Amino acid sequence: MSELINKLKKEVIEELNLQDIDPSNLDENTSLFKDGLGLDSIDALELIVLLQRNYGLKLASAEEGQQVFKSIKSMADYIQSHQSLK
Amino acid sequence: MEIKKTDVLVIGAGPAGCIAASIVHKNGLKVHVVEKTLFPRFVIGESLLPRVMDHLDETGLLADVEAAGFQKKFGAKFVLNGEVCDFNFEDQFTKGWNWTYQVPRAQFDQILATGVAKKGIPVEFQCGVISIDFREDESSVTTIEKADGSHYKIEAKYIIDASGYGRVIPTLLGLNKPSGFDPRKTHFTHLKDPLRPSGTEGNRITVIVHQKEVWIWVIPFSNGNTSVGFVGNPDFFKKFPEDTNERMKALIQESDFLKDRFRDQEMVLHPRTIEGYAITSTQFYGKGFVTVGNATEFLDPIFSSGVTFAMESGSTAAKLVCKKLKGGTVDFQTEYVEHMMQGINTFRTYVSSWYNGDLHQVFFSKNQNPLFKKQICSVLAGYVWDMENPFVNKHNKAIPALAEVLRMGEETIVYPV
Repeated sequence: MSELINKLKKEVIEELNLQDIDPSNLDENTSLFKDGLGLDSIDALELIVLLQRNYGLKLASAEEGQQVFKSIKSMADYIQSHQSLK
Repeated sequence: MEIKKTDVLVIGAGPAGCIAASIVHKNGLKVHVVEKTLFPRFVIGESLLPRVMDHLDETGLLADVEAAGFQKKFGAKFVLNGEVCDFNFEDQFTKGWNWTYQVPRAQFDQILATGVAKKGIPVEFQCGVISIDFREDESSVTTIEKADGSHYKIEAKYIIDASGYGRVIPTLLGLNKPSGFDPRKTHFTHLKDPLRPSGTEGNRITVIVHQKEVWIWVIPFSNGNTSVGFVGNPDFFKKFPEDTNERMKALIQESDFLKDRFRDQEMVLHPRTIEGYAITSTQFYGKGFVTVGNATEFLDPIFSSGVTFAMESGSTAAKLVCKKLKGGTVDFQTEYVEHMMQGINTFRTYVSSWYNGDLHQVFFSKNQNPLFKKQICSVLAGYVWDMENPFVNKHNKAIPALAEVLRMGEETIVYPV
């Protein structure tokens, strides 16, 4: 799981161009939107694309997205539980 | 030889030049406009954006334009295979004007130039620039040729080059640069339009996606005529007749939207072709000059950014020139170039996304996000300097990402056969 978390941190930072953030400084529980990292709606689109492109997973709805993208941890949980179904 | 003197010489009396001259005058400096052609003259670029109204208002030219009774434009309508994507300027993210005009430019440009002259600013027609001598102190002496072939000189502290397609200073100083876009071609005319649908819908500008890389504009004017133009890949036009009239007629017959309405209608303007219109410059400013409008850069007719950029650049540049001439410190690179590039680059993304199909995916998706639509609408309204709008701030990521997500939802765009 921690391997996945580290991988995800790097991917998210790269995909969203968050150059000032080092993966070691990004806590897996930090809220990605709102008060935490403060990502916006365009970043959300890019995370959807990342999930599909890198992990082959498609979200069912925008509501599901809100849950999945709460933090790096919630993203990792989602990936783990859905990949084991494949 | 006669030598006139002024503070600022403006080359060109089109929209960029008129806004620039008005701003210089408003700032209490002497300004002189020279225009190569004789107005009224035809020029293309007939669809304005709400952003234009801010500039007309600021320069006191709005009342004259309003009095002319041009066709009002409240939004933009895009059509693909019978599907309609409608943008209403009232429904946008940025606070701004909700409407603008659709104009035959011969009349519009003449009204602007007359408005400028009414302020007491000298506007000389049929005066073309022959040469410019820039001096060490950034002042210049420009040699002008009049209609009768005689010459005179104008000494100025600064030059604002608003020469449009003429590109006077970029040509004189070798500043022309290809735009980086794929080459495109346009073929257009004005027709009588007795079969125009009645009511507001009939008066709306419509963009029809004819093929992925070919689109048609239909711009109804208040004088009853309608401008119709095809824009696209030059290869598309190869299969049509060589003769410009026959070509236009054949093109019109290609489109279900146009063929019955315009088949027997008189073309009141001889059809024209423009090719390779996208261009830019290696420099937007230099010692003693700044270029504005089309003399700087032109992207593409889709999304009607031309006149908007002309006025935005004319206004911004003029303010900076005045500040400099009054002894202020001005950084043209950050205050002019970066400002204009912010807007130009935003529209550039949308133009590329239009021709590569991403924007079709976004416009014609069954799954429209209302906030995204408002934000995109503000871009289409010309408000491309509002950094609060993620579709401006992150334009190069926003559109491709949105298109990708919509494609993942397995919605495919079907182009006409």
